[in-house]
Amino acid sequence: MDRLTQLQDAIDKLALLFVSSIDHLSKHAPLVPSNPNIPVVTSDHGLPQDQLQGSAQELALDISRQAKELETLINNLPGIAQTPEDQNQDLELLAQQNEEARVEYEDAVAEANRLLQEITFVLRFIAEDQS
Amino acid sequence: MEEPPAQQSSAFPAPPYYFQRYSQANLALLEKYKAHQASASQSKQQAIAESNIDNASDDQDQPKDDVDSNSVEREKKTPDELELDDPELTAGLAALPFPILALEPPPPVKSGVYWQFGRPWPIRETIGSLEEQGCEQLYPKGPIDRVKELKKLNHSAVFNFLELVHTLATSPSEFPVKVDQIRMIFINMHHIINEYRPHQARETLKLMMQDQLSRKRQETAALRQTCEDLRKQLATLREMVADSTNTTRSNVASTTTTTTAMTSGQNMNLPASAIGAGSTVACDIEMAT
Repeated sequence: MDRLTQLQDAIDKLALLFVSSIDHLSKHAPLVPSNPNIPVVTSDHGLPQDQLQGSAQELALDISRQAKELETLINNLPGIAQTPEDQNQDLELLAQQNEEARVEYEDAVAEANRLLQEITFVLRFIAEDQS
Repeated sequence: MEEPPAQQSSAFPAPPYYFQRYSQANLALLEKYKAHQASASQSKQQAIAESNIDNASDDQDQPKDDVDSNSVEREKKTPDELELDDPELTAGLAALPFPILALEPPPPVKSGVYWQFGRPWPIRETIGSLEEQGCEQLYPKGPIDRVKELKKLNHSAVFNFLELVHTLATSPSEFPVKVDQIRMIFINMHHIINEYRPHQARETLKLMMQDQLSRKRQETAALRQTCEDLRKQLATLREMVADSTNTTRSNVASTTTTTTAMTSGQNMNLPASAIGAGSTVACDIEMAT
């Protein structure tokens, strides 16, 4: 797959990691009292603290890994070597050459067809004489 | 099928609203109009050419001035006079509730924007449009080092995410600001990369064309080679046949010598090999084309 699409996919993946990490953390966090005087009663919401820490650690690792990958991809970007005018010139030249090659090819095909007819004639003659 | 097709409850979509314009009379009128336009433009060109010649020769002879000006005026009138030559045409054109050229398909749109399926598409596809799509440009304008800018944007994206998490922890209601900033960073990154795309497209086109070119050349060479080989084989066949019978007939008749060889029964191997070689030769040609 080409590098530009890879790069853009990597950027999108990074954004997805951002979103999913925030989402995960906020879903599995324990309840916090909104009023300091009223303590939290239910305890079966969310994950215990150490599991939460662990997953937070993992998510942070993922994000930094993805960012590093992005940086590597950016480093491998090919530069723009030719200006559009140069490229257009090359394309015109190629189009011309293609046209010439096509004409030659058609000539060769016509010749081959003629030869084929000749040979079928010969073969038919031979076959008729055989029978 | 029983109801007329213009009623609402037809199963098929109605024809376009202008289908009734294409009557035989209208089509004949269109033909006449086009013929008239062609002859009118021809005579206009002649008039222009002649008036140029007249203007050039104006300086030379003064007594001829009246004649020249008359002729120029007369020729200026000719396009209008052609209209009058065919009052049917003008009357017919005037009677139509639509311009006669509406019967032809519309000419292609040359500038600006064209509409397709209710959306405007630009005639010239420009990639950049300079973030005039309403986003601010975080990287400097003008020629930039794309790699460096992208790396900077990458780092600032991660850093802004960190700030976002902090904001969510401290004052959660202020998160939209940070989210928008991160959004802007990503849009910028994508935009820089999209500026590579036209270059890439042209490169891909170039590669494809080179590939096509080389394939054509290969095929031509292969065809020519096969033809050469087959001609040689055919020539050797003919030689074999000519040698075996030792007749002095012409080349075309050399095929008939195979019959004499077979009927004489002298060299039964020869016709078999001739047939074998000939059939392989024909197969080769058929495979090559």
